[in-house]
Amino acid sequence: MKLINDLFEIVSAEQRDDSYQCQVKLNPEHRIYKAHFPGNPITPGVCLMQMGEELLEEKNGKQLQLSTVKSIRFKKIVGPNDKPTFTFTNEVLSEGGLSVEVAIADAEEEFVKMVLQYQVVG
Amino acid sequence: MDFEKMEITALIPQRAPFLMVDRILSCDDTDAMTTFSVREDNILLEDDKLASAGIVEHMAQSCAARMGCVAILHNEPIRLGYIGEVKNLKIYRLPKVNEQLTTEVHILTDILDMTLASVSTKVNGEVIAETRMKLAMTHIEAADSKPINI
Repeated sequence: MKLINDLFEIVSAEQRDDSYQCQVKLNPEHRIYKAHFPGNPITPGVCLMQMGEELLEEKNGKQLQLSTVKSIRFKKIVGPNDKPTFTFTNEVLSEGGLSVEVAIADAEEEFVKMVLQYQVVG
Repeated sequence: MDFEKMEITALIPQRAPFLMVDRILSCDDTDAMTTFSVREDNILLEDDKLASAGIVEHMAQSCAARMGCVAILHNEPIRLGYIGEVKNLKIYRLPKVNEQLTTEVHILTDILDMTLASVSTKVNGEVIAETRMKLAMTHIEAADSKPINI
């Protein structure tokens, strides 16, 4: 199951010289928010990780599978009404896979920072 | 305390369809073991496999289940926690529907409301993923947390 157009949708996407930026809108009515947690809706960190993967798949037209997380730091909770922007930098596609750095932030604060490597599986 | 006989929802604040642990098998001061079967109605499936997000959530909830055991031993409520950091995660393969995960949590440090653990997940003895993660505990009690008499 993909989270795109279910838990979140893309509001805008922009390719810049050295980065790719994607603003997203979450779906506060999604059943994940009723389970994580009842009465306290918080976007699961692993869903933010998965959203980053799906945005990269959309952009590259490739199917990716996470193979290595060098690091992920969750600095601040993303609520269902936040509209965070994913910024992808240092994206390198080689035979070994795809490596990238991702920052998730809005105008005021940074929520997550990730350094990831994917296998290209399709 | 027979934690392995307890419903997992007595130990962690997550609820279906975002429950990624079935049961705790053992728990002591430094180590815990959990189990989880990948079912076809899992919300984080991709094709017929558990997506990487599901594996990492399972690992985090395995740590949470251990924290739940500790809370119950101290007669404290179950509180909400979240992942603070994931480091050096390797995913060797994604588990398929009907496969059963067994996960070992080893606590490296446990100070105040921050726990650092090394976590390794196996299917039939084969390591499919391993990592180090930091879990942060909030002071927010789970909405349906009930005190349990022991």
